[in-house]
Amino acid sequence: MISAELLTKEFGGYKALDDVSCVIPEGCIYGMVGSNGAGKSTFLRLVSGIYRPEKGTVMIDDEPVYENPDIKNRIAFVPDDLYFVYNATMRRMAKFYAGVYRDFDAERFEFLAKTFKLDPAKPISTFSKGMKRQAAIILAISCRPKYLFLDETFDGLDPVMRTLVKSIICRDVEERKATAILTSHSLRELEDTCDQLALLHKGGLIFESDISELKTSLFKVQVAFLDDYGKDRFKELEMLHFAKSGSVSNLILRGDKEEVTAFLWKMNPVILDVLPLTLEEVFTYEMEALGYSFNLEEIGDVLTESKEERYEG
Amino acid sequence: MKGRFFSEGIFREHFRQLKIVGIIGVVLYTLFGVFSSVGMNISETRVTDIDYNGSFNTVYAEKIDSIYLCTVQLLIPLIFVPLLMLVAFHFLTKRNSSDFYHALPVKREAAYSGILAAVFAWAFIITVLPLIVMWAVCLPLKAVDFAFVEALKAMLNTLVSCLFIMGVTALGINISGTLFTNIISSGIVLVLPRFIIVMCWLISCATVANSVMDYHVIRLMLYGNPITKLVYILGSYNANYFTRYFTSGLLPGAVEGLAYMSAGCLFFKLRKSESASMSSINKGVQSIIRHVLALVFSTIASVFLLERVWYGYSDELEIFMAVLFYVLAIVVYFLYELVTTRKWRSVAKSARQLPFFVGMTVAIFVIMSAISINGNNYRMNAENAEYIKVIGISGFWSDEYFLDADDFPVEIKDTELKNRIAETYNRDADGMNPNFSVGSVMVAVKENGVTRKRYVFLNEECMESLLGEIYSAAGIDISEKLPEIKGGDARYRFYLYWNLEEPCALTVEDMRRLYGSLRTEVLESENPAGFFFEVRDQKVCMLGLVTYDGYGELEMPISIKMPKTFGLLQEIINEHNETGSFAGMYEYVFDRTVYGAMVNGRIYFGSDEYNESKYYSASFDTDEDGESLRQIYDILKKYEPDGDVSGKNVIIESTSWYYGEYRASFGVYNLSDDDMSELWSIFEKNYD
Repeated sequence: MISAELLTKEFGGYKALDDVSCVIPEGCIYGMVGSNGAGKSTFLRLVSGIYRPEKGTVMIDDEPVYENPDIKNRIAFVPDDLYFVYNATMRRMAKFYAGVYRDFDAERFEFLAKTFKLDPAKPISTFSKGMKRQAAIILAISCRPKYLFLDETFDGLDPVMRTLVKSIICRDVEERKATAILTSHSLRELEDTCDQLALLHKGGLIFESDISELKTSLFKVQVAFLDDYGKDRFKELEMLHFAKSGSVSNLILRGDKEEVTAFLWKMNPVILDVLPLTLEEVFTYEMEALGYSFNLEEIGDVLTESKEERYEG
Repeated sequence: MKGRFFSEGIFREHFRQLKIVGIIGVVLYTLFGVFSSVGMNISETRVTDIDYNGSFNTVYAEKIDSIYLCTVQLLIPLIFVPLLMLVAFHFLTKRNSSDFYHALPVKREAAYSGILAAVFAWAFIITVLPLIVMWAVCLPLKAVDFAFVEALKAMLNTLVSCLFIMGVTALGINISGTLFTNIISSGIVLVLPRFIIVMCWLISCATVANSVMDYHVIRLMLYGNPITKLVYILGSYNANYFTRYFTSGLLPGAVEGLAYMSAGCLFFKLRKSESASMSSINKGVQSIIRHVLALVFSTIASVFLLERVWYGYSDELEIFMAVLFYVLAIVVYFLYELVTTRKWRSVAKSARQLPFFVGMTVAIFVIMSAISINGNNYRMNAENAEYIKVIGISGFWSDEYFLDADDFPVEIKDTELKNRIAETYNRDADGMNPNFSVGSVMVAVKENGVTRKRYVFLNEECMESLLGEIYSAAGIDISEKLPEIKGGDARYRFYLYWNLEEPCALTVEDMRRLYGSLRTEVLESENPAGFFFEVRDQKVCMLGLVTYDGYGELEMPISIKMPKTFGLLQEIINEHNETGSFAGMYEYVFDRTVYGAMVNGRIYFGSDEYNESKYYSASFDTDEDGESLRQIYDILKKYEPDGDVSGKNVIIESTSWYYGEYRASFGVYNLSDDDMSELWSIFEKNYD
């Protein structure tokens, strides 16, 4: 089990993580999403024992992680910015890993290299971006970790490789009761893989929730009335987003679906449709509620505006 | 326990990572070892053959000794080890690699020791493997002697040097985060302690009149470290010092290196992974480094200023240098911040600490002034002194006294001598012009529990009394210093410092004969130990003896006061030249007068009235020079050189050069009073 309590990390006065607390149970695939610079990578580095927190604690199996080789032996971390020894081949890196990770499985490594169709005798510097990430994941998984942390998990991987990686992670979690934390901007992939999801923004944990519960607690409603109406009509509901076009409105609502639906039917709408949200939509609307959004129309106008028009303006 | 303090996995990986640098080192040194040994064998065989015209009976084998090997291996700690360390710890200069290493399931101290072990393993291989190859190559070589014990000494010295440099760079690297600051920080760790020692010496010695550099400070500075010891020995051209001081640098060097390594380990443990690619591990360290660098320059400036402020030296250059170094200090202060952080904001912030830096500079100047003034105000009191010891003699060829460092210190027991030493010192300290002095002695005086070391400039009478006391205390046996050397013994080589050496081209056998005669004269004299001191003021040349067997070097004056040896010298010179007399040489050259013929030489006037030597040079192309030369010739042609130095005499050495042909003449002429006076006036008028 991973537990973080009031975790805070600063870099020269800048707070990257601010009082983050969470508990990640054993056997869970925990997805972490957030805006750029939200603190996801920092969190992973704290949990991997690379950084020491300014405040708070991070424990794995009830032991502190920092400078604890015993715990670190159970962890494999694949960062966003990969590192390999200069001019090393995968086999050379495997030897390095074998020298420091107690449970490194060389057979597993060879098998995975073959599966991913990577030549372990070729210098990794000649690999493409995606292949380097595959190599890093292979090396991490070959350590037979109890805790697997992958930052920007699917970055650079083609759809086929993504499926393979997801399958391997899920199998590992299932068979060995491993725990995985994945971060990615590809919410579609996280949706398929993760049990739980957390949203970080500006160093703070906005929410963490079960995936299925997340998708049911937030939903889209399309509604139309004969009379004229505005946003106020729905002020009793927890609304993240309101968009009206003619008499039809699209609402993003949080709450119990049945209760909300019943409440709306009482208003005698002409149209009432309840639609599920994708994880991406959940993320977008949650961030919008936090003020993390952009006026695309305005940006588009500025971009297409010519220099002369701008000066005249 | 093993995993806690040492990581085998990290060691093996870093050993692999360093193999390119390591293999280059091994290959270069092995090639050098092979080629230098074979080359030495060829060269030594050829030189011996030429010197002894093929008829040598003792084969001299050039010894590959510890000083030679240490010199060659100096590049290992100075170049290869820093390179190995920078490569080994390169992961600390980038965020991704730093994070990678800090994620590994290894205790930091275990990783640190694993990395250092890998570096040391390669340093060991680069040091030892080529030595083994060199030994094997030297086995069949006749003129090269690979001294195994010497090789072990050299190896030990080199390995300790490597440990020392490893410690320096480990500490420097672990307080900084980029390659550039790694190098700067390592340089500071290396230089700063010695810079501080030098500054303390400058303040307490160089700014204090007649002060001697403290012996213990010298030992610390030079022999307390295997690298500085070697550099000093190489600079002093005395290989015997290495044997004498072989062990002195090893333990201190190793201890100092290990201390730095331990400090490096502490910083490695404490540093944050995120400090990779930053100029230093935190702002405090950044500030300290910046201040230290700038203070180096401001302290140098303060030394220049010290002399001006307190002693009124009116040398404008020193003022200029002081201003220059103060300005450089400020420039370095800000430039370091700019170059390492690349942020103008950081430079602006560092300006806030400028008053502190100025305060430190002023404080250092005040402390330096206090020490200097205190030193210069000291006056010796022989009655009050617990002891006055002579710790060395300087300013002259120490060989003239057959004294070396082992014979000192010698405590002066004679009260009158002690008083005279104190009076002489105090007179000079008060700025009064000293009487003519023949040299200076270094004395250590202990008064009121404080030992001070000063130079005292003594006249001849005082020097003779002092030497007498030193010789009896030292128990000098001259016969050991002057071995008997038979002809054909290639373990000894001679050389001659004399302007007639080239035209006369004395052979090894000639010089051996001179040495034999000189040896006899010294050992048969009443005072063999003081012999050279007594004869040195009328020397005409210096005969050098190099002993390869247990390496030694001795330079001996051949003087007019040594009748047998001096006479033999004349004989030998004239054996090599057809023109025995000055007149003969003059006529020979004059007959071939063409543009560019020159006559050069030296004349020694040996009489009470004219007791001086003068150089002369004349060309036949100018009327003036040619005329004075003719006048000299007109006087000397009436005489034959008779070699008698007992009366009023002149000794003329001359060389002439004529289209690649050298001629020389050397002779003692006993002139009449009138001719002596006339010759003197020619020289006084025309030559210095």
